[in-house]
Amino acid sequence: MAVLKLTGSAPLLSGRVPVSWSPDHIDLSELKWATPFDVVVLAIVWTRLEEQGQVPTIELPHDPSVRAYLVDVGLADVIGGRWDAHAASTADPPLIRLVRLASADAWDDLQPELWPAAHAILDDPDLVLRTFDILGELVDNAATHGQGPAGTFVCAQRYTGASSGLPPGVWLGIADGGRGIPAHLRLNPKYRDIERDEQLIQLSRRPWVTGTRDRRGWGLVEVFEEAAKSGPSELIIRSGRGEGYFRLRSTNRPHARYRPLRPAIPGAWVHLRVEGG
Amino acid sequence: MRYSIVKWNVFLATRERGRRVREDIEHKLAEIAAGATLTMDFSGVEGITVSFGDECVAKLILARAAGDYVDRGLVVEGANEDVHETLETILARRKLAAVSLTSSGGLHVLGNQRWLPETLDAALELRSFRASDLAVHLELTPQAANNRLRVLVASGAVSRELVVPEGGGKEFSYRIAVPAYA
Repeated sequence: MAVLKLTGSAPLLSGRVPVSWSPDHIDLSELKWATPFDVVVLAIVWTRLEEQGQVPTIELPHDPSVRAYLVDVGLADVIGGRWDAHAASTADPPLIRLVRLASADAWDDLQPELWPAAHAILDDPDLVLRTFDILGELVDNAATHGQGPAGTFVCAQRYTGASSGLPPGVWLGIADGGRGIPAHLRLNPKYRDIERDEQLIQLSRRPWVTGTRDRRGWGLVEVFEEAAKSGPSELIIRSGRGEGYFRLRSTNRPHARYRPLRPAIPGAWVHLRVEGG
Repeated sequence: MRYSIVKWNVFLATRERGRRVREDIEHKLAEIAAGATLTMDFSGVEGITVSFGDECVAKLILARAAGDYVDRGLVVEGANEDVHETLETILARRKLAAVSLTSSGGLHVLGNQRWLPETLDAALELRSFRASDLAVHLELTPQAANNRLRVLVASGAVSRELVVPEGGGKEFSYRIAVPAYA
């Protein structure tokens, strides 16, 4: 039986990779803290399996405050189970509660609700604008290469660091269950013969690099520029059999590290943390 | 005709939404009479992404460069600093230009600059003219004047109509299409 056991703080973000992304059982009993990335990945893994009629069994977090947070953030709406959250979450309310998007246009439809809510949580209008610029581009990318019955999940949280112990800032998680960035780029004959997925993730950062017939390919370029302008930032892209890890500053070239991944990620999963807020 | 973008949202995010807005604007452009101008009014829009702007505005300008709706005008108005900067970026990347009406009533060329502001100024003075008039006004060769006019027409600030001169043949007539300057 394949088990996805998540323990401690931010287990999926920290890259503790399971044997399989199609588990028969998900064990969250020892989960202590989930970042937006952990939340969206759990949501997409669960939803993909549900769409395939292979719903895994689940053991929910034993810590009542963790359970309460996952209810607050919206994961309990996606993953079935007896959440019974009687305790209060110690985290701030989410900046963006977990949403499932069937299309990119659905993201635009949510703006009248999300935009004022973000302004209420983040005092800095520039940070709101940059956060939504970044999310818009990432959702757009996910819709381009991530179309599938499971859709795209988005979640965001502002951390002060007081209760989480995590670096303060705005944390974003976006995950889709589509073909992924490497497979999408290979639709373009120019990139078809590139075998290593991490190399394709590296290429995806360049202008005009796209798997579509259209002349485009500025989405990730914008994400990197806006994140760097917001302050020191950290970005992780996992897709297919590759990962790109980036530390960004407005004054320096990004520090980038690429590595192969096993097992392959079914889709594209992105984490971004920008300091500030 | 004034087309209010904010009816779609205060923040416009995705390429898919950009396509829908562009198609709606194209529909409105098809409805207005030749010689009229559609003003894309961004008042109240707090931000747009590069993907939205590229799919909506840049593709409208690209369509004009290919000859669509060139007998009517298209201008930007009410863009805040962020929208302005985003449009500037996307148009420059594609080597395109558009014209924006500023809050003080002035005109600003967005995107590809080069000789366009000078050519726009000349068109504003001439108002209704032929390519040969512009060539004389700016002391250009007819070919250079035609090249500049192609970009200016695509920008939306000038409309172009086919006319038959007295001696026969065919010729284009150009008219400034910016409201308050037309």
